[in-house]
Amino acid sequence: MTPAALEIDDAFLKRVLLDMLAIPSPTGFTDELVHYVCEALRAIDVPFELSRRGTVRAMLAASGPGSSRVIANHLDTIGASVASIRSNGRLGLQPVGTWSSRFAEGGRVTVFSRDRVLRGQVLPLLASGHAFNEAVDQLPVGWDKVEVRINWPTSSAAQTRDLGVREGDFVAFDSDPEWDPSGFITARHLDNKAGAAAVLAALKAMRDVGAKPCANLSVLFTITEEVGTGAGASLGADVAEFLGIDIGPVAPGQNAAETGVTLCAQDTSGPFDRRLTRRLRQLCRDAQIPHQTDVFRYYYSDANSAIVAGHDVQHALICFGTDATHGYERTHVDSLLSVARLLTVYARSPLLQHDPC
Amino acid sequence: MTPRERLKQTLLDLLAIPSPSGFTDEVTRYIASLLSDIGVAYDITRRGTLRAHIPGAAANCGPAQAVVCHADTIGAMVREILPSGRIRVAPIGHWSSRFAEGARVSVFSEVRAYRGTLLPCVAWGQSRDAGVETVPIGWDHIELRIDEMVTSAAAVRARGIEIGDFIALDTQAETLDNGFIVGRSLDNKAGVAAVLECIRDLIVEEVRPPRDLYFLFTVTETVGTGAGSALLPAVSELVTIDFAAEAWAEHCPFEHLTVASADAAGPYDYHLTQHIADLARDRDIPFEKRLLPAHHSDAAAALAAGHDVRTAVLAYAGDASHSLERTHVRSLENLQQLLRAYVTAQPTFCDDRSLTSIKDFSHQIDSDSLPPREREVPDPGEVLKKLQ
Repeated sequence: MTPAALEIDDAFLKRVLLDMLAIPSPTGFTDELVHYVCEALRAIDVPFELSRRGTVRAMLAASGPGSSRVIANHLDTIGASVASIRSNGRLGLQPVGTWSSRFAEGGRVTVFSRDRVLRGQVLPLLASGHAFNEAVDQLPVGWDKVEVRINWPTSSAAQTRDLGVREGDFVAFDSDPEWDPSGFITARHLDNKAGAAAVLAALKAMRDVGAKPCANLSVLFTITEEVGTGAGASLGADVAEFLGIDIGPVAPGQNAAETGVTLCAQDTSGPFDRRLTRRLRQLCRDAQIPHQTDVFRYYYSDANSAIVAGHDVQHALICFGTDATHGYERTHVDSLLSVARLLTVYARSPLLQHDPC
Repeated sequence: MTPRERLKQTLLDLLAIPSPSGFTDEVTRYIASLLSDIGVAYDITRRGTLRAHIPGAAANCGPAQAVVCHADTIGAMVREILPSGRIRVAPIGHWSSRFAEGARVSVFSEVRAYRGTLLPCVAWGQSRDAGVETVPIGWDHIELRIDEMVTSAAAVRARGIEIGDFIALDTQAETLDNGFIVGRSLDNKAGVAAVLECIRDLIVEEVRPPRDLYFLFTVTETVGTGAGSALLPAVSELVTIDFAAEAWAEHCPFEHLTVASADAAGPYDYHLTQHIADLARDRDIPFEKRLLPAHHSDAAAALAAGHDVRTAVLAYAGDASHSLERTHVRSLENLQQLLRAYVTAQPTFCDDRSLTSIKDFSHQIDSDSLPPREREVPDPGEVLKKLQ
């Protein structure tokens, strides 16, 4: 008997999502967001532990012992770091995570140098039509074709260095979130802060009604997914199932949608566990959660890092469908609520290889 | 011998030993023997990763530190024996065949070692119309000419040479009075030499590091899996020593070090990297923080293998990596000095447990440092309402 989906506090979901979008967290620079998530967990009374570098593991105990399941989502986002200080005083960038500089153009950024925090904006090298006319259209797209104009009087590398800026300084992009009354949310870094908000909302829903998970549940908030190693170090030996929560690309040729849950059957790392994916689809049907299944051809997630690190787990991935991923992202609150509802069902249903609760 | 002469001698010894990834037993033995001479305890893993151990002075100051450097180098392998008696090769590690052309090599067959030269498949400069200037660069266009009387595949095979035999490149090492060191495979034998001499100094001077200290010498970095298996759970910090091709900018002279903030696998640990940069700054050791976007390191291999450690990369100055390499002895000496400072200083976080509490967890942003943003754009509806 599949448990019914729990009611999700959508005001809570919205608040934690907007809070998290306000906190810079490119991979490698996630300490503050980790602090936020721990505080959020404390506020909803979910116990957690914290690894040396900041992976958070929230824990909900089942009634008895036995194998456990992991729900994993990542807190780190794409971003950039200072690759060079150019002779005009502006900054060359190296992306953190894999994304196109096309979507960086125009981005407002914060540069975290050792001595000072600076604001700036990413521009193509030819950034004025009045000055460069059609050459602007001919400039190729690439990380070596953009630079950060920092909002500080500098016109030479030496002046910029005097401000304390150095190669390797982190550059975080503003999320610029907009929450439309239609339910659409437009922002950078919905990947994966929207997923993390859905997970927190699901945990709160279970706490609100005192629901227990059917098997011991660990919820991982990982910090290096965008560079491929998020969940490698954080699994115990008794983990039987591993469910990733992440963004799903909505685009022509993709079946993902900005509403409902998008189940990922296969990504670049190969197929996910067929039985667990089928079980999740059945749970959606039973709990009347709209859903669709898709295959992501250019995509990795933490489920892959768990397998690469040698964990023998049945793994699956569920997504909130999002348009223009790693670019100008947009999803709909319906997909986040659907993911959260499914999590409340999944956590309270038996493991694939175990007796019913 | 002066310390500089000893450093050069250790490096030249290492360079004399062939050690492409997968063919590293002899270099492991050399390092082990040197560690024994110095008087340092070590373990060897099944496949030859060495783990030297210097016990910490304080029993209770946090977990252990590790320094890792790789002793394997790029090389090649026999992939096809051609009817002409020439041999096609596959690269070991990631490098361009452009830099293989002209290399003198040893081929290690099961019977014995042979000598030879890697040549472009059109190698007769006097007959230009044969295409010397148009033959492309690539491993398909490289042949190994062994220095044996062979003109057929059968003759090559009769000498015991088979597909899969290892090929090691001569390093043609040269050290100059002005400090430059030139040769193949400086990546990363120059780093290994500097680390070994640093260990020697610690032992000779009876310096006890504050924490348990491990030095790992790995054997498969060049193919991407170096430090995966040899890390102990007690280790909280892993500093990789490696060769970094310099961007020949004005501010990067030959003796500088690189504290890498990120490589192809993403950013290194923020706090450990800052800690090392601070140590260098305090001691006036010249360094630059840099990104190494095309670089892969043992640190990344450790993370991929699931170790939750802080990682950083400390690199000495190099030119033309995986090619006709060059470094400078001053850069290696600076590396020794900074490494010495690192292993004798207190760790990044004194109590850096594998599980921490949010109260003790680090911060990266000081909220007071954020510049206030004045972007108070009024709601367009509110503005228009006043006009209507």
